[in-house]
Amino acid sequence: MIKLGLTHRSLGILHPAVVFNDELKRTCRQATEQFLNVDQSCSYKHPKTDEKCINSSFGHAKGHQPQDGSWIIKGSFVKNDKFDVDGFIQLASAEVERLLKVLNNSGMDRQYHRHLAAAEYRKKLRAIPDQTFWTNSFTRKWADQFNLKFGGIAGAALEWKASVCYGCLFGRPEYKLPCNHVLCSDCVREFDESPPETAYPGIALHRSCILCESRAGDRWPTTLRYRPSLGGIRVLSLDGGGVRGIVELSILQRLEQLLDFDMPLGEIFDLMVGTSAGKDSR
Amino acid sequence: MHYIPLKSDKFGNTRVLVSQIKKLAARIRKDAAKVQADRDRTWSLFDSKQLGVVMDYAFNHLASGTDAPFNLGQFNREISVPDTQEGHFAGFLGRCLHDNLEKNFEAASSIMACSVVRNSLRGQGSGKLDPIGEELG
Repeated sequence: MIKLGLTHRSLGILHPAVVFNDELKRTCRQATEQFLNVDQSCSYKHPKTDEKCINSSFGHAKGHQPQDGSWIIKGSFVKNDKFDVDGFIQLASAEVERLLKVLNNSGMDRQYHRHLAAAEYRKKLRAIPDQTFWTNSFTRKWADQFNLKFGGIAGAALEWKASVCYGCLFGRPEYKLPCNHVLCSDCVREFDESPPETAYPGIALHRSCILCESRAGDRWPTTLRYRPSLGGIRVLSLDGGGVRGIVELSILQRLEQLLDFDMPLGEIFDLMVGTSAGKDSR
Repeated sequence: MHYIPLKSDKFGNTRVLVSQIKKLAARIRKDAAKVQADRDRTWSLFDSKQLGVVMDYAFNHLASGTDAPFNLGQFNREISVPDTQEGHFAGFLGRCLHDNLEKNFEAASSIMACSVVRNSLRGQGSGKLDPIGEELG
């Protein structure tokens, strides 16, 4: 609903008051407050030992604590005054206005605007002064230690799960890149680098990670298979019933021969489920 | 996992050990109830699926042999996909501005602004963008 209401359709242009409307501004404000309460560390530093408190406002019940979990001193959360919520929203608002002005002045269609906006997003990612957070996680230290010990054992290596698509901040992260960053289906398509002559629906080519710029190694460039716009989830459901399970197997075998796709029929489906004998047929 | 030997010269006889384990069990139940009540009050109870993942992480953390404490609150946030747009933005800020508040402040606001504009341009189902070899100036 928000998405549909974001453009000033009557005028055919993008208006800042519609694109970055009050509801989205409120969302941004709440997000910054959530960040300050949950992620932002306390600013307390012990005057003699220089030990820093790493507790957030949300987890400050025990007082000031350093990284190792010991206890420094009793006290309330010390706020970092450097984060100005109003200033943050104003900066974002000004940037939305600037971008929309450029897009509206370009006089091109929406596809072109999307391309420009995606290119601008990519440029902004490159311009982040400190990029180390793409590759460093504050939990990684012990995970590295774990992988060093047990990573060689099949299935034991730890990988990080992404909860947000940093390619757009709106979609659900679904497609994993070789560097372990995860994009939503829209971003997989929008940042597709397939040459026009080889582009194929449902397959996107990424030469590097749009976030960390990783491109080294034999897993790059990578191809990602996504569900085409008109495609649904393909499920093969097989009934049970003892010997009748053989009947459906014969039908499938015959179908495979008739279709002659040069690949097993099972490759066509995203999910295969079955009951009783149908379960064995899978 | 807690093992109590049936015989031990060092820690006393079985009767002493059984009474100790009863005290320990009572203490665990009491603390677990307190934590549950705290989590209930702060709306941060785990569901059964999350709990499995968190336990897995907790044991891996233990197995890694690290001295650092296990940050339960942090994992609670990391294992769940945010339900709201606010959660997506907060996730990005948490990552981009962690220990980089001053350096990345402007860049973070600029990226959020650009993501808002990009989202407004996405129609029903976004198609592939044809390369045009040009970027905004």
